Amino acid sequence: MQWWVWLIIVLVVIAVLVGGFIALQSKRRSGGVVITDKSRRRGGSA
Amino acid sequence: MSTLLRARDLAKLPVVTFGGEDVAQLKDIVYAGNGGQVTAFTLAGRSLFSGPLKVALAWSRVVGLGPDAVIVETQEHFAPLEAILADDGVEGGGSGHGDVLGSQVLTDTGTAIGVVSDVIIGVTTPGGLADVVGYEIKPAESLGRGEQPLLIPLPDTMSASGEHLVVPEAATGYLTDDLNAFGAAVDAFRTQIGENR
Repeated sequence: MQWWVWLIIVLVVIAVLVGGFIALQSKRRSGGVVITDKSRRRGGSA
Repeated sequence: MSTLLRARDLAKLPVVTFGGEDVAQLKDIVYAGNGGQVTAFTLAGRSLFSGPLKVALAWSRVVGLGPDAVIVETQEHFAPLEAILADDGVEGGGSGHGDVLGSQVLTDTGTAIGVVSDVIIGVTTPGGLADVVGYEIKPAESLGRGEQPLLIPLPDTMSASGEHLVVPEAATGYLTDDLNAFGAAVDAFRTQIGENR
């Protein structure tokens, strides 16, 4: 294959990896609403 | 009554210091299962490549909370979530029971009334308390209220944990789809069950 075909393949692979990583991090940054343990220490400040 | 906010509106709000530095964004809202008091926010980084941060923001460190940002004095007040929960008296560092969004809501008579799509938080004043006062639910078919999300008030002394959230049967009498009218519904419900705040 021509050198530029390899270049395109490498660039596409890098773009997919970077895009995937950004999408994964975006999903990890998304939040929710979490309940903490309902039992509390005696004398703990409420 | 306090200002009512949807939890989803708070997610991804930037955390800004007095110095104007945009240091993080909100990720999870962490609240106590025995009373509904918001204790902390977990944080995430602000850049495209950032993930969750290992530190959290205690509610007591929030100076201001508006529709566009959360204001803190300095990022030096961020601390690991376990430390914040331990300071708040939560036993075992508060490993938590996971996300309540998507949890089934049951009445204390065992009727499923829907699935939690959002959580309503009442904020009294900046520096005051933030409490979970109700859920927004996607109603179950058996409720016969269509598919429009409904708000259901919670008792002040609620107890919640696990995958199922149990509410008093009386709360179903105060279902509304209007957030502006929800504060009055919460007050009326709590008065009915003898919990006037």
